[in-house]
Amino acid sequence: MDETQIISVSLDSSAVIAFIGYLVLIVGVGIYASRFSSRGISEYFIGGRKMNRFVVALSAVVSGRSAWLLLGVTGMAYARGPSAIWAVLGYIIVEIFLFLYYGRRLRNFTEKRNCITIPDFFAERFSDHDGKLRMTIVAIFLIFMIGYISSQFVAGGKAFASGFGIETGSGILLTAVIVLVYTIVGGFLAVSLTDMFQAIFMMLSLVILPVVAILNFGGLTEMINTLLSMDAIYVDPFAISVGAAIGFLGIGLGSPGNPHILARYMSIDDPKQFKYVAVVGTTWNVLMAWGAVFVGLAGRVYFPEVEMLPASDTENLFPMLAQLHLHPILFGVVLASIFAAIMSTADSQLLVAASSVVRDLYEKIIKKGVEVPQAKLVLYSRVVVFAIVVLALIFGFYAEDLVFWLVLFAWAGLGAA
Amino acid sequence: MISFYLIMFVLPVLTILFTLYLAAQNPRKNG
Repeated sequence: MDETQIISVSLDSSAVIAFIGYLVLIVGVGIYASRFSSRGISEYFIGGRKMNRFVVALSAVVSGRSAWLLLGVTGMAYARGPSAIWAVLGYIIVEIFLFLYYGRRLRNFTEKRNCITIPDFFAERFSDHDGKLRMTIVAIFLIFMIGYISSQFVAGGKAFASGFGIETGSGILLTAVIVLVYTIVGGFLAVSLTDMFQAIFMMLSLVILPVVAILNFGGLTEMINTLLSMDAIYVDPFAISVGAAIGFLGIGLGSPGNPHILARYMSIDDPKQFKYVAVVGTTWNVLMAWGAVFVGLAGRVYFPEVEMLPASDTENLFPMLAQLHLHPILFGVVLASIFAAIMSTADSQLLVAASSVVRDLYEKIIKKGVEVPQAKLVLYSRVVVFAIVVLALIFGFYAEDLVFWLVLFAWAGLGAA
Repeated sequence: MISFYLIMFVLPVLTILFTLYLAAQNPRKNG
């Protein structure tokens, strides 16, 4: 069989329909959520602390997992074998402790002191009367968040380009417009609800794809034997230096400092439900992470040489393997899951960035001591969301190198902050 | 080989069981 036939992306119309169905769903959720989110700034930015525990669990997990999990970790497992598991184990463990020991404290404290944002929380926690601490945190957030959002748009553009054959620039714009539409009208509720659907898409594709691919290959034993005959590292989870393993596990330390993840904890309706959130969130994290590593392992037996992947890029493995093994409708779901990963991260970051401008800069510093009507604050929030999208697009189009460096430091920078 | 099965199949189950165990601990300490 001609290899190029396997690896060229050809889209079936049912895959396109499944993908469009997914887009309609998330935009519909945005419109559905718009009335609730327009009530006030607390509703717009943290869902009025009325979020259901299942929504919070999935939203918290999926906001922290960008396309890195679907494309990066699968590619890493393809290249290095099961030792890629150390890159995901760190954040899973850190998040268990965040759910169980930090979430409830943060939720209770922020409700008692009426905090809506993380800078709000720090300002209250450390009695920041002159606003210097708040300003510093807001500045750090904005720099990294805009870079982060920009990188998600660029990733979306590239995914559109490889998945649908449209130009990267148009893909970037399209990603930005979709995220903008449901975030601007639906606020936090829309972002959380779409996150929930996106988490379901991501989990399904990361579980179904490796199972189908491994079964098609002749089963697990057959796959392991083939991997073993290629190189022992493909079945050795410890084929990694101690330093690299510690570095990988250290990725998890970024989780507690990323405000778009922490905002999820503040939004839950009943703080006693964090035990449930921990169990559901961790189960989701585990299924997605191990699924991603299995995708990489299965990919290795189907594409023994990296040259068999488009552009010899391991990040193309996930969509390639899906196209090879799944029904076109399911392939559409897999494509949707890549966008889901990108959008679920971008939308949460977008809201957090906007909240620090409207709540922290405008309401708490510029208009300190003045009562600003809620309707006005919500309107300003929507304007700021729009402005941040425009800024992120400018960064994405004209300063891609800068964005790369910002993102490289963002996870760690925000974690440290 | 055994390490492959342990890490790829036993560790994920243990991670979830560990979470269940912690969640079942004294609830007052969880907050």
